[in-house]
Amino acid sequence: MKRRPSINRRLSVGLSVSAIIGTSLLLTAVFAEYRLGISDLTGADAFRFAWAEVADHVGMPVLLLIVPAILSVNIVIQRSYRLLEDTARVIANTPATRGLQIDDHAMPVEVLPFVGAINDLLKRLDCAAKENETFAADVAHQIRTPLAIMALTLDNEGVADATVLRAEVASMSRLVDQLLLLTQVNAQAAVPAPLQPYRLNDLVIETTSRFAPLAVAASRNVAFEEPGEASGTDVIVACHKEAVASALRNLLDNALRVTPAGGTVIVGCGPGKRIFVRDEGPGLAPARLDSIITRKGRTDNAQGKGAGLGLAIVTRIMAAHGGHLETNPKDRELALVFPD
Amino acid sequence: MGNDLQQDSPMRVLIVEDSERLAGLVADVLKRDGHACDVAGTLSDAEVALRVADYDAVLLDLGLPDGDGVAWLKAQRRAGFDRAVLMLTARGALDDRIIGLDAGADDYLVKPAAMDEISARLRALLRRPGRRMNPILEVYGLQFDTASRRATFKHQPLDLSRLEANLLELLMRGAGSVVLRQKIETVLYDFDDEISPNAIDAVASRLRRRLKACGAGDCIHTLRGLGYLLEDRLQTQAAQP
Repeated sequence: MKRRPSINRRLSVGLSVSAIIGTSLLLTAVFAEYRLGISDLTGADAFRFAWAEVADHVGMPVLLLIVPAILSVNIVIQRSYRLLEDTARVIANTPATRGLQIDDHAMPVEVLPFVGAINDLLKRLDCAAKENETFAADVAHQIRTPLAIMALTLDNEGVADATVLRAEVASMSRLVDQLLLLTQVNAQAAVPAPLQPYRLNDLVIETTSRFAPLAVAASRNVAFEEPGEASGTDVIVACHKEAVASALRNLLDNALRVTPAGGTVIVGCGPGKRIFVRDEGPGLAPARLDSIITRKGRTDNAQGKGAGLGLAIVTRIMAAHGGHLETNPKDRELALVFPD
Repeated sequence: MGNDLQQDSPMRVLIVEDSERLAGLVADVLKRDGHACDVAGTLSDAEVALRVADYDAVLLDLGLPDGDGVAWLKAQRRAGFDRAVLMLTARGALDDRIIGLDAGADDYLVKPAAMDEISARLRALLRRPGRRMNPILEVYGLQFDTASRRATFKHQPLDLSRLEANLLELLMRGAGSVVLRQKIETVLYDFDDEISPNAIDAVASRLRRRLKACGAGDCIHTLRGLGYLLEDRLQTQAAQP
């Protein structure tokens, strides 16, 4: 097994090496100064004399310098790292799993960037954990509503109304689907897969035509607006295809729910790297979209059940592509915008 | 819901699913639609069943106690198994659909899927060309004989031109899903035919008129910019405004 690097050991080795180099340089200097040759060291007496001189004038000074240096280096390093060890002990003994920050006011300058990075990471983890908690509460609320409706329906005298139950089961399934999708999107954001180039038009036509039977069954129509000559039909976007398809699917679901029976949901590409979905609903104000995405308000009112979660997922998918979700209430349009 | 309408020809389906309750529910609905069903709880049971009987379609769950459905299907396909396979799974990760289709599944559904959807997809699979096929296509009341190119609605003959018949066949094979314009263009016309932008719309609207005239209702939907969709059940006639 390879030994772990140790600053202490490295410094000691470094100092020893410099002692050896220094000694040999000094020796060379002494030999040159006194014009000594190998022949001067041949006699037993001369040899002893020469070595005594060398030990006095070279060995002693070098030893006197190097030994204290090695010792003090040891002490300084141990001192500086004792602080880190103490902090490590504090962290290990802290029962809290959140809100933990490393106290860096006494830390040596050299470790500050590292401690800073760790503190930053801890903060991010805190945020993620908090977000997940809020989210779990939100989801629990959203599941509780259909459950309550189902329980009430079943408790009603007589035969339970199957259509009510079916609708609630459908809304819960949708929610579960979206939760699954969200975990996948999050997992992907954590370990991003390389993006592949796709033709935007093909992606939209494929996704929309898979969605269309659902709309038709719900007596709504779906239309694909062919891009004009100016925007061209060959817009290529680097993306994770299934993720973008899911985002578009979410927008289509959303559009279907706000469009009255007999209405048409219009999908299209352009201008540029952009997919839009227009519905016949009231349009979504940018402020409202923001609050839905950040899940500040209740998400299950005006836009229908679960819309908030869907749009939050869309936003995450787009963020993972360096793009964003945009609302354009005047045209009653939501758009996926990719970076240029 | 529409089960009293005229059926497609019955098929034999193997359900590979380890949850007995779920398998039972699916089998009940398929049997009610007039199909024969067998249930296998493990991959080895499924293999035995496939050796003994000839199935039109397999409904395959992925997480089975004795192995992974994807790998199993790949092996079956390599061994020459060519029946329709509909994957039904609780997984549904973003790329699972692609992985499933690559493994040789013909279609892919994520649980919980509505029963209507499962049986619709199964019917659609059996209408695809290239499989062991009934020469007569049936979509709830509409019949099309692919050999004689003749169509009937509730046994009442429809008088169709060559293009109209081709379009009807295409739509019937893809009933319940959108048939894209591009595909219609390539099937209906030769490569060097001069096609005016409205040619397909004209054929479609003539076909629609003929279907209406014989009481089939407005079952062909135009999806502007995409293509056409033939409903796979005619129940929505009543729902027309």
